[in-house]
Formats: sequence, C-alpha cells, structure tokens
Amino acid sequence: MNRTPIRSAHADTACGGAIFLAAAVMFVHTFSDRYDIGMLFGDVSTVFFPRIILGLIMLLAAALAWKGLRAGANRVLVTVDLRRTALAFLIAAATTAGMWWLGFLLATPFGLIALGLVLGYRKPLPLLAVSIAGPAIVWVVLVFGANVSVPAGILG
Amino acid sequence: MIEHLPAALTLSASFTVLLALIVGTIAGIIVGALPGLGTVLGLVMALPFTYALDGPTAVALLLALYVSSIYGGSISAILINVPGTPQSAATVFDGYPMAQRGDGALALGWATTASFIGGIFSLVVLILIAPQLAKVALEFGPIETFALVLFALTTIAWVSSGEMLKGLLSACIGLFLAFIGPDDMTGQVRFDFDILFLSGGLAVIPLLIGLFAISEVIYQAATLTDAEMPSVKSGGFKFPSWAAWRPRIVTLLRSCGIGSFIGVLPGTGATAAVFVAYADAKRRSDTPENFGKGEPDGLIASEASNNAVSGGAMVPMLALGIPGDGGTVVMMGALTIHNVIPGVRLFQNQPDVVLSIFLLLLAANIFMLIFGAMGANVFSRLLRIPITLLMPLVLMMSLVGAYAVRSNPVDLVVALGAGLVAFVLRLNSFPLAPIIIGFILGGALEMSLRQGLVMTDQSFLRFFESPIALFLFAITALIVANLILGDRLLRFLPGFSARERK
Repeated sequence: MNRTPIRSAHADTACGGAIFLAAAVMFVHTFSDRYDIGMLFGDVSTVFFPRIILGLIMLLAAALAWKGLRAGANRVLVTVDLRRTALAFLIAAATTAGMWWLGFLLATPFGLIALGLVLGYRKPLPLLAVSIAGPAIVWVVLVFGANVSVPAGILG
Repeated sequence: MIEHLPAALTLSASFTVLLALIVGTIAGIIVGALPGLGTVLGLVMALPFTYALDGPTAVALLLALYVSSIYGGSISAILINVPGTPQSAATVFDGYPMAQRGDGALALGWATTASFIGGIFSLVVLILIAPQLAKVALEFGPIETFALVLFALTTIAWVSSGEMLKGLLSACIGLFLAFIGPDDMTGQVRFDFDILFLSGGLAVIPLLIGLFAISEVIYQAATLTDAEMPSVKSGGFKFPSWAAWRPRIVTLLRSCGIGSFIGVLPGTGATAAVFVAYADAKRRSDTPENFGKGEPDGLIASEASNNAVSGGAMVPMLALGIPGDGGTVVMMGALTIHNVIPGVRLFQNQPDVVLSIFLLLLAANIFMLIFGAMGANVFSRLLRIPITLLMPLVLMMSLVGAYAVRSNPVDLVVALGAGLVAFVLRLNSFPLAPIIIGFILGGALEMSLRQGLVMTDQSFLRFFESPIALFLFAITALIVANLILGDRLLRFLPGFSARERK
C-alpha cells in the first residue's frame, strides 16, 4: 500500500504559512469600511480585540513556519494513505449531501457500507447488518423515542 | 448548600435518571474499552440522544458516560495491551504483564477498585473546592474575569503535550472562530463575508463534532494499517483482598491526590495525571524494578489518578465555566443545551442542580464499580469488534448529532469543514482541545476586556490595580516567559546546576 510520510519540518512550514496567510487576509479585512462605525460609552471598536488575536496568530504562525524552515531534523510524524483519506472524506461529504436529499434512512446505509469497505472491512454480512440496522435503530430511537428531528429527505 | 438536598434528590431520584445512569455507565465502559473511541467520541455520539431528554436525565447519562469511559480504557489496556483511551496509557505497563501471567481477572479487579476510589476521592475534592471557588469568583469584575480567562487559556496551551507553540496557536484560532457572527455588545456582524450562515455565528456542537469525531474518522482512514486484530486474553474479575490492599493505601491516596490536583488545572487532563502519578509511585516504591512487569502499585497509580481527574476537571468547569479538556468541553456544551450554564452564577442560581450533579457523580461511580465487576467478561468480548466497523458508526452519529441540535443542514457543512481542517492540524500534532476551549471562552474574554476598558477609560495599565488580576497576570507572564525562554529561565534560579539542566 502506498503511504506518504508527513514530515515535521514540512508540516510546520506548510501549516504555519497557511495559517499566517489566512490570518493576514482576516487582519486586512478588519480595516474595511463596514467596521468603521462610531462606538458609544467609550467602547473600543468591534475589531479591536480580533486585531490583537489575529496579530498574535500571525506572529505564532510565522514562528512555526520559521521553526519548520530552520529545523535540522525532519522526522516522520505519521505516514498516511492519501487515496484512502480522500475517499473517506468524499464518502463523508456524499453521505452528508445524501442525507439532505434522500434522507437519513436512505442515504446513511450506503455511506456506512462504502466507508467500511474503504477502511478495509471485508466481511459483507456483518457490514450489511450494521449498515442497515444501525441507521434504522438510530432513526427509531431518535424520531419516535426522543422526538428529535433527523433529515427526512424524499421520505419527508 | 445542604438545605437544597431535598430539591436535588427530587431532581435526581427518578426512574428515567436511574435508567440513564445504567445506560450511560454501560455505554461509557464500552466506548472506553474499544480502542479508537474514548471519552470525547462517546460523549459526542451520545449527544443527539440527550436532546429530547429532560435536564437531569440527560446530565445523568452524560456524567455516567464520562466517568465510566475513563475506567473503560483499562479493560483493553489490561487484556490486549492497547489503551482504550489515552488516559489508560500507563495502565498497559503493569496491567498487560499481569494478564499475560494469568492474573487478568485480578488486574481488572485492581483497576476497577482503584478507579472507583479515585472517582469518589475527586468527588469529595469537587464538593469541597468548587463552591468555595465559585464564592470567590462571584466577586470578580470584568478585569478579574479577563485575567482569569487569559490565565486559563495560556495554561491550556502551556500543557499541550510538548507542543506549546501549536497549543497557543490552537487556542488563538479558537478565539478567532468565536468572533464570527454578531458582536455581543453592539450586535454588529463580523467576519461573515456576506455569507448568510456565517452571520449567525458558529454553533459549538457542530464545531465540536467536526473537531473531535469527523477528524477522527478521517484520521483513522489515513493512518490505519492492516495489522491483525490482537487476541483477547480471557476476562473474568477478581477483587483484590484487603491484605493485598493495605500496604498500597498510601500509593492509592497519593495517586488520587495527584489526579485531583492535576484535574483542577485547566488543560492538563487525565493523560498527564497518569504519567505523573505512575512516576511518583515508582519513585517512592521499595521495589521500583517490578514496575512494568505486573506491579499492582503501577496499575493503582494509573487508574486511581485518571479517574480522580474526572471530579477535579469539573471544578473549573462548574465553578468558573472554564472547561479543562475535551471531555469537559463536551460536557459543558451538553449542559448548556439543557439550560445548566456552568460558571459562577450556577452555584448562586441553581444550587439544587449543582447538588444533583454531585449526587449523580456519586451514583455514576457506584454504577461503574458494579457494572465493571459484573460485566468484565462481556466487555472483554466486545474488544473483538474491529475499528473498521466502528468508524462508519461514528460518522453516522456525528452527522446526526451535528444536524439534530438545531435541525439546520448548515451545521452539517460546518462539522464536515471543521473535521477536514482538524484532520490536517492533527497530522501536524496540533492539540485540538485548545481550539474548542478558546472558542467557548472567546466571548467572555472579549466582553470582559471591553467592559474593563470602558471602566478604566481605555487604560489597560489600570487593569493592574486589581490585586487578583495582578496575581493572575503575573502567573500568566511567568508561563509565557517559560514558553519563550524555556530552560534559560531556570538558569536565573539559585542551585540550578548543569546536571539538572541535562
């Protein structure tokens, strides 16, 4: 199986850089006209504290990126299966979308089966049983037992 | 407070509460025992079932789950050498060797009894400290509140398992997320970028579910290897005799004390407590060479301390509204849904609810002892369920939980997005708990700062006129100095020799 190593220095540089950029965009945004309003009773601007926190985030993110760039050792933090990661996220996203359109009861079993298979579970009978019985039990308990709203989709 | 006992008993003595305690205890032991689940995921998965329950029943279910899941981790640690929860990481050192030499039933007996006593000890600490702390905190104005929340957030980042920079960054990201949506003082919407669903702000439960549950599913998918399922040694259960306990009472009580003390500190949690207690027990033992080879003292230290954290961690959460770790964050979110708002006012306005929480914690610990002893065989059989079958169920419960709190499909998107971001951060060893703690405390921190500035005519220097705030600022400054200077700070201390530096 193809596994990609995540290395500490690369990860620090990438995460630090990305967080710095995102915080910088937000920081610039705090100077937009919409926040330029008069404050009452001696209160500070509504973006006064966000600016402090965003400044702190930029400082810490820059320190993290710098740490990554200067790191002597570039140890492997973890190895990941990128293909399986992407598939798992896509299944989660598709199940979420399916829940909304088809409803929880119809969409979830497919999501559970797909995720089980992607994770490497290879016993069809238990997987089918769990994927069908699980959502059904949760549906009955939540909807009829606890009166909790669950996406009904086309069944609604 | 004792005068509120009849009202507290009325709240907590009902058939549904009893049922919730039983279900919560059994579910907690199961999620604790199954590696890959654990306390936070267990609480998150239970959340949707509590939405429609009345307050005391929901609180009973979650408290029982919280308490027993910490204990449940010891079962897999002892029987398959894999800690079910991070809190049981030190239990494997002596629990598994005991099981290997055929003393698995006795090891479970030591672990269960030590967990029970640890839980009860910490409950006493909670009862003694929390009301006093709340009484002191009642005197806090905006300036003291600002200093306290700042101190708590810095502590949380400080103890983030060796990743202090990332801990601080996580806490700041959480604080920023709290700014999205309407400003509490003026109502002005911030950082919504004209996206409708952001204009109302982010809800805590979907964020929590994304951070802890959905990221876990993706993380498992990314890192799972095709390792064989470990074989499960036979369970069984045997209480240790009093003669075996007697020489270990001091170790037990000291570990309980360590767990409770560390639990009270925001952000430290049970994982730190078990290693401190284990190292302490080993250092003070007459036979330290036996540690790691099936020494009951090691098992007692680990299990008593991790369960002793449960009550300790509730002290800042209930008295000050400051959650200390992932478990108490979920507990706080769940309590808020049921109109129990942790913080100073809880002790003043709802003393009967506070007392009923104490009673429920007592009951949860007793149920944990009973079900732990009675169900050891059943729980050990459940260890054969593979993680590849559990994770799809975690995903299902996460999505239902995120949606059901407000019946808003946008919350599903928030949970999914938070899950993806949290997964990326986890790959780089970012601690996630500071994000959600920062998010929860962000509003209070900003509000208290702004109110304080209004009171002092925008002079931050006048914040230092308050002795309480000055004390808290001083500790915070020391922590920050330690973060920046590390060992260099210690060189200024007398007697810091080269050997100690090593």
